[in-house]
Amino acid sequence: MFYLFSWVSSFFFRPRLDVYRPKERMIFHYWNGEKMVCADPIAIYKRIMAVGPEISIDIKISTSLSKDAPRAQDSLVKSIRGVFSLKPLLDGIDCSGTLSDIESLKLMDQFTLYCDSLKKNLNIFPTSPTATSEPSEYSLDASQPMPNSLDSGSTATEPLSEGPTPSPSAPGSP
Amino acid sequence: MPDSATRNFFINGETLVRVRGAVGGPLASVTELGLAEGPIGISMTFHHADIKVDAWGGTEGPPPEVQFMGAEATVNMDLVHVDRNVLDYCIAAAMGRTVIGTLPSAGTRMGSLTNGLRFQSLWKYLAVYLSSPDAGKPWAFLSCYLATPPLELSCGVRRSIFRLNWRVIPYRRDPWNSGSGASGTFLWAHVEPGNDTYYTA
Repeated sequence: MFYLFSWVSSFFFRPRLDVYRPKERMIFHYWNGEKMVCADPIAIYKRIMAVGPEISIDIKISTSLSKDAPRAQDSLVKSIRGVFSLKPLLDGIDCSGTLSDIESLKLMDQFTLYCDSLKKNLNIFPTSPTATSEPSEYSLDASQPMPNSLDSGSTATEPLSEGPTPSPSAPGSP
Repeated sequence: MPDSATRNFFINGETLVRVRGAVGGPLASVTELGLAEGPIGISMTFHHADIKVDAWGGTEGPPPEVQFMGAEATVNMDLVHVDRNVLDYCIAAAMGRTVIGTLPSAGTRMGSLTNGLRFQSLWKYLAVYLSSPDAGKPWAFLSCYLATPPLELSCGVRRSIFRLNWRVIPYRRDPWNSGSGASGTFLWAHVEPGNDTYYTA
């Protein structure tokens, strides 16, 4: 009876594995005009980087006095729609089911701020000890001989000698 | 002191580049060529000649006087956005023609001897205007041509950066001015397009 109960309960209480699940990557949420979308920020970031130079140039032209500023603005919004998989405007005007141009630009700003916040909250593990940290017990000095306890293959427990080892021909030796 | 000295200026910030050519041509009016993102470099070369006199050591001594021998300039720019049709006209003008890809006869003057007034027909130089909204000081170079072919640097899939090198000369149809010597020739001016109508010498 106990084994039967364990067998049945194992279907409901499974041990949690320490792995990433797809939904744990979908941590950036935005409204695409129809529904809330959960997206992987790394995937969005890579899509932005793929068109990064074009977006950068379009931003500069669209904010300049160039006669092609409106065209650059359209190109910029088109690139952003591609990055966030937004539907284009119906007839160029109707934004039902998608975001307007201004909202698309705001979404881009929102994602940029989100990435900045992620970078600021990132926990960086120290890869090297600081200058004020105490030396480790097992730190080795190249000028010092290796302790026998750390010497590979050596199991002897003889102490380290401070001075030179007396030669067999030295006075006092048998 | 060398015979010529070069000094560099930079126009920082975004700069709108416009050009103007001869009347009757495709660039008869002030036309936008493109937008420069970074600084535009202006290198001015002043030419001087020393006057040596025996009283001050001859050729070995310092000059008691120096003659000014003119000046020229080069303008280097990287344009993040270019109107390719306008650029084609600029290239054609640098080749002494209006139609790109065709060559004039060898020895053809860029300014023309018969009708070489600035902005008049057969005049193949271009005026290059640089707006400088950040510095608030526009530049107008009145006799330019592309000294080297444009260098196109691919930037992404749809965009390119165009590197242009202009040479600016003190153009004058009659440098002798009928024997009395020409002075007041404009190499550059700090004016906006449209305010240079009197620079037609």
